Amino acid sequence: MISVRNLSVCFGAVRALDDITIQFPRNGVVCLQGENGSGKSTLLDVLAGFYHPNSGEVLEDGGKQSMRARNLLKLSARLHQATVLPLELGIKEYLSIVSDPSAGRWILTSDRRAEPKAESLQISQTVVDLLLAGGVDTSNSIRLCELSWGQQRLVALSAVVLARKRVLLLDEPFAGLAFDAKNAATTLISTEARSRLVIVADHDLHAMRRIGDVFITLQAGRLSAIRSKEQFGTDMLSEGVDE
Amino acid sequence: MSFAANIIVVVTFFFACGAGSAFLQKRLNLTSIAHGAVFGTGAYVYAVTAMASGSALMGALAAFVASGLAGSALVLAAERVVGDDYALTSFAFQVVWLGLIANIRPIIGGVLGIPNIPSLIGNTKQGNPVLYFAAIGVVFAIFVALILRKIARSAFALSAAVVARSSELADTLGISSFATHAQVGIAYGVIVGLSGAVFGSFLTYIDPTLFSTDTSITILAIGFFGVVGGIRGTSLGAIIIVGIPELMRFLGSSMAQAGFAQMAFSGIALAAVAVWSLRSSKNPWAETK
Repeated sequence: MISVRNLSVCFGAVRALDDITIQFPRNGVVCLQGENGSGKSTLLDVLAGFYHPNSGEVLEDGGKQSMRARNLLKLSARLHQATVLPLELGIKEYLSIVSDPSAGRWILTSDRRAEPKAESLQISQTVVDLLLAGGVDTSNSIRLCELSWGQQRLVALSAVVLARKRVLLLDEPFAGLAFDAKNAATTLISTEARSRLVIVADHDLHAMRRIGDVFITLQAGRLSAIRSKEQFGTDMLSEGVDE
Repeated sequence: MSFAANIIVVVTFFFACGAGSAFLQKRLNLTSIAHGAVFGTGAYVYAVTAMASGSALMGALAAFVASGLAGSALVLAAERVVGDDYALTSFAFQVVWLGLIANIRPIIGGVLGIPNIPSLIGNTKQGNPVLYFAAIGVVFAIFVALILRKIARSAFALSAAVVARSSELADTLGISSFATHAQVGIAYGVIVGLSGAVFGSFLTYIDPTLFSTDTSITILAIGFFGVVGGIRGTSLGAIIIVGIPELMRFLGSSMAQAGFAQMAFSGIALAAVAVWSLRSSKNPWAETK
């Protein structure tokens, strides 16, 4: 279980995160919401080990142990807002190396980049469904650069899921996805959240309401509210956001 | 016969260096302008160690280790800087290296260089030593080509492709960008540094001018041929950029003329490959999405 205590991050004069204290559950979906610039992505970057906080800390084991960036990198996988992929690789090649990074660890003893390895790629049915919902067929040896933007987004999300980390940090996973792909993405995230913690930052409140267990609202870098699924649904209705 | 063997020696060792440069560019997308420094590190360490110990083998071993370290240091800079900034950083590395080498007089002789370097093949009484070096060059070039082909077809190349795209992406997916950079750097450094060591042993004399920025540009240009055309491209690049000027020299052109021809070929190759082939070998739509 991870938590953050009195976390503050500054970029020059801008205070991106201001004295944030949150305790995250061991598994389930935690949704981060807030306006652009409210600090959602910065919080994900700190949890991913990319940013060092100016003050405060990330803790493990119920607040007993302070976590360093290296530990956070091992613990979590981060999906960025911008889709970053090695475009020259094929889908199978990319997903195979992501699902088994040890195969390509050493330069002289690494496995042969053979097709059978990629052919026998074992990925969960929910990941296959996600990719198929976006029209991405994993049996093809198509290159990532040949996919549409939405399809690339789905491959990026699949890669993060396949990385087998204890915590998934998803920044705008639903952005740019069509209806079917978005449904498949919510199913995938819900399935993964049974065994690990998934923290999602997105502006799609309907999708977040379907998958979220806990809802955290940030405002100008400060913690504004922590709500349960029921409270969040009621608030959406009262604000006229829901159907 | 000796003319041809001489050209083979120069072409094969520059082929190996060009293959090393192409390896950096293809695997990690790194354009380095410090190839001359790594090439020179191998040559200088070989010369100093072989002269001090009296053993060419010890010299080669020391060159192997030192150039591997130099290569990894150069490539690990990519953990912090990428793209144009990396090229600039590598240029700084080259300039600092050259400045140090040219100004340290004890042991390495400063601008005067090191004469009487022990030959790798010893004092062979039988046969023409140039032929021995030509044979070593051909074997070394084939070995380098085979090793790089093995790496290109391995799962390590997939890891490197992810690291080349983004170190952050690699690290978050469990692929160590540090280990990948370090290993590519060692492989690159050993290839280019050992080429320098054997080349220094062949010449029996080295000075800083042999490992200047011009040398880096020559190796970079040969490497660009390799990025576009693989091993065949690297071979063609080495023949055009190094082989033809060497041939001109043997046909009576002055050293200066041959040198200017080499720089002109390098410049034309860099411009042509950069403008046409490198851009079109990537997917322009994907890059602009």
